[in-house]
Amino acid sequence: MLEYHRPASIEEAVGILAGRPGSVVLAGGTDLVPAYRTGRQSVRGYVSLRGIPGVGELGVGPDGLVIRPLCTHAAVASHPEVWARWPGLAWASQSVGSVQVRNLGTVVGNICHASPAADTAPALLTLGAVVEVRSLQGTKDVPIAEFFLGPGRTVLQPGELVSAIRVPPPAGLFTGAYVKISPRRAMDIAVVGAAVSLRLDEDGTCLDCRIALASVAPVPLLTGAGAAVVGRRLALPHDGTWELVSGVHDVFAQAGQLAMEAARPISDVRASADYRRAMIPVAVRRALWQALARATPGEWVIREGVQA
Amino acid sequence: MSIEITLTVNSREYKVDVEPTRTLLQVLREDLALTGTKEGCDAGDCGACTVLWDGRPVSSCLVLAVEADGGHIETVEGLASEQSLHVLQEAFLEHGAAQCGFCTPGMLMSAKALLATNPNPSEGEIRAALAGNLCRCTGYGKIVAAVKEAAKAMAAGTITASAPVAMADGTPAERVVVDHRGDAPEGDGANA
Repeated sequence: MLEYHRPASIEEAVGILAGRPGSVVLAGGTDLVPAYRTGRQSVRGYVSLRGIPGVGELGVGPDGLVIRPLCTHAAVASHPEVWARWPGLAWASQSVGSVQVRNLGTVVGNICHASPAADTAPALLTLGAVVEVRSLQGTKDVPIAEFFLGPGRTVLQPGELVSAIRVPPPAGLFTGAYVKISPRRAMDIAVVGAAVSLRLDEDGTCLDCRIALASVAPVPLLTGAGAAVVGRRLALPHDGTWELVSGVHDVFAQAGQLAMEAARPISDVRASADYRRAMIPVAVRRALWQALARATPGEWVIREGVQA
Repeated sequence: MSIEITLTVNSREYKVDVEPTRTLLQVLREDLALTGTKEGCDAGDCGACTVLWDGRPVSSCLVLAVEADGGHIETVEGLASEQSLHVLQEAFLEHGAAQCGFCTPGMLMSAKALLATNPNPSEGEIRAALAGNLCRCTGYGKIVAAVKEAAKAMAAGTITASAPVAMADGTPAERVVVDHRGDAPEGDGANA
């Protein structure tokens, strides 16, 4: 007989998880409910989070972003401050499923499900997010880059749940983007997903660039391909707006190439490994251009004589 | 392990005993006999089961009924009043925006939610809002045109998408207790 628990606090929830092995945390249910109903996952009981006060609230403040376990993709993607400060994440949440799915599905659930195709995972990887793990033993922080172990597998042990994802505040001229390549624009899973973050100084030189990928490895993959962009001048401030410099295309192409070399794609029902490999530089370049456009609004005239 | 929940559906309050395995879709169709909401894929992919949960469109096949305890649900049955169809229904009729009709209730509910938050959507916004509702007959053109038309009609008149959905004729919401203790029907309890 399937059990259903509705604890009133996170403490109570981890107590149930510890005392009743085989129980699973139920957040949005978009993965878990059909998996259970079709027999793909056996469940002793659900531990619902819906009775816990505040667990669906998004924390946006000077210390950064706190994504609590019932925060939906819709909540993230409809928050103007998330778009302004962490646009890559807002973009990723917006690209999940459909309106109906985004109103249910949560960011925490997205990473706990640990699909290599999870849209928000690469965005969180580029943002240096920290996963707060709770159990009866207490709270520990896991950097998101160490969270994923394989398809459907994370570092979470029985009795543990994710009580929050914390995203540090952006520093300086910071921007990001997420580009998803899939046959349909909605209700589809990424064939390749690319998230980027860019931090520029006031002269348009890149101080930091991170590039992470979905659907090209057993886990969401943080690549080192951002190194091709760091230290390069990508734009020039000019009369309160921005101009481009020569050679940015080449810099972004290099980053795309490095990202492709870092990937370990497989062939499956959605795409061949070759196709995925070919699309990685495309997705990375597009994401970099979108991020740059967001950070440096202007007419984008190329200033000849200045090289990236 | 049967759990008593309270659902307010189309302004009417229901008390239902449900097993935690059952979805909101099953309870709406089989316990409450509200068969306007359709089961398409039963996996969250097609949008035929779209209802509004506290005003937001969700796939009711992905929601366990126990999770919706205390919630306000709107289904297609709540759109029309005793006297008249909802402006969206009128527009769908006029534009022939339905063929087999199976996706129509979900389309209507998604469109209603869109117009409640965005009374003057662009074609792109309409298509994005309906992207989770699959139609295998119409090719979507007439559906999009109908939603546009409904938005126009709402802007011109006094009709709003957020007007009370059920009891528009002033009938007070009544309290109905549906008791299915121990014999919840599976499958064809109340097919449309």
